[in-house]
Amino acid sequence: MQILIVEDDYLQASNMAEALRSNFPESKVRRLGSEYAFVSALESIRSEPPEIVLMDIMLRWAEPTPDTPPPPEEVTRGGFARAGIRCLKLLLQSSETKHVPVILYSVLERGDVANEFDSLPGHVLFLRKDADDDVLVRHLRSLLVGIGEVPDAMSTWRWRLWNSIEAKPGWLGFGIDLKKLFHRSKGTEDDS
Amino acid sequence: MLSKQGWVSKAMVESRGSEQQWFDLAGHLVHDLHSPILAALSATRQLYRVVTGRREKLQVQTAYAACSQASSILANVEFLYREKYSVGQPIRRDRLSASVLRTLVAEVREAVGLVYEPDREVQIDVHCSDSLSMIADSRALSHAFRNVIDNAFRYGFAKSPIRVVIESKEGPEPEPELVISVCSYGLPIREDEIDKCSNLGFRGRDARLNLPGSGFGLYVASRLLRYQGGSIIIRSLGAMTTVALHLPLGSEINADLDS
Repeated sequence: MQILIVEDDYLQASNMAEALRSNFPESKVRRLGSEYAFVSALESIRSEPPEIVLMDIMLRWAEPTPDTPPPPEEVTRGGFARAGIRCLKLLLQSSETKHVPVILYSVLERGDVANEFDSLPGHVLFLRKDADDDVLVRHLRSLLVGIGEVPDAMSTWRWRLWNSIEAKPGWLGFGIDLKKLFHRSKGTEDDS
Repeated sequence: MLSKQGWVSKAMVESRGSEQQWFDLAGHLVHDLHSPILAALSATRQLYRVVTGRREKLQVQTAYAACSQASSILANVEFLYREKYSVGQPIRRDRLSASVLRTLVAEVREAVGLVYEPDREVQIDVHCSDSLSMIADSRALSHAFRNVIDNAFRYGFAKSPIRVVIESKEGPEPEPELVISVCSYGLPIREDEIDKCSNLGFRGRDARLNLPGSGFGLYVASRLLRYQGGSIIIRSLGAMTTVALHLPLGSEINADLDS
């Protein structure tokens, strides 16, 4: 099992990695320390998607190196405070990674980035950074094995069901496209 | 962790208090944060020296590094607060020798290294006579040096070495002085930015584009040096940047400290 940590703070990343290794000893923890490192590693992430991503929101553009390219216009305009959201959108754009569960793990309050969350799917959770690693581990576990606090367990259940529907469009043998059906009913609810 | 006075000020915040109320609130916050942070720093520092188990060592190392970083940020905030409200900076008179200076520099280097990159090579050279003895504020010097080497770690290229040179220049010209230089390879400072680097809130273009930051560090360091009659000189050539802390060795500084 591979867990990807996108975190630019060395102290926090090493602490998180240690907590993950001790709680998920079978896991391989990979760390990327900047937005540029994430963008550069995107191909390898797509070819071997992690089981879960732990994503900081406020990230530096790059580790200083002699050959780091300057940040693109989008990054300059959006600023460091939205870097994790941009990385998340890259994951959601790709068919290989769009279903990978992501925990946005940040010192920000949910309200600070509320506008960004309107269109996020259920397998993306927001969690405020906490000194207690157990909170993070519990949420990780709930996403990974479907246990834990009820709302999270429900999200996981819905997400898994959704995936199974997509994997088997002729689910239950009735030939009904449940996704379309769901979209239609959801759309009706939204419209009303 | 906030005192009652701090929370009492909540009502003031909500009612958009006066400048005087903000002054009181900020003072309370800085004051109240000092005790828990210093207690945590002291405890973790001692643990860091004695704990040996691998897992425990890593955890204590993280705690110590985080406490020292928090303490450093708080020291910057306190400095700015004192300066803004003209409260006055506490000045200590410590007798410093070459070995004391070396220890001071090595301890700060170690603490900052733990925050960023413990394996980064930092070479410390001391070119001072063994008989060097000067009076200066060791805490302020340590604070200024921390801000400077913090920048070297933060803006230096990953794994590139940092060189620290401590030297005493005792000739008649220029004035006898202690110079602590930090030389690193990293994001360049453009020629037209060098004079502005010590301004409050200023950040060079390359730094601003690549990393978040406050622009406090060099400002506070330069002011801390100036309070003791010293200064900061920055040189940058391509990727190589040298920030030198200059502190006079002569009796003038003692007279300043006395006043």
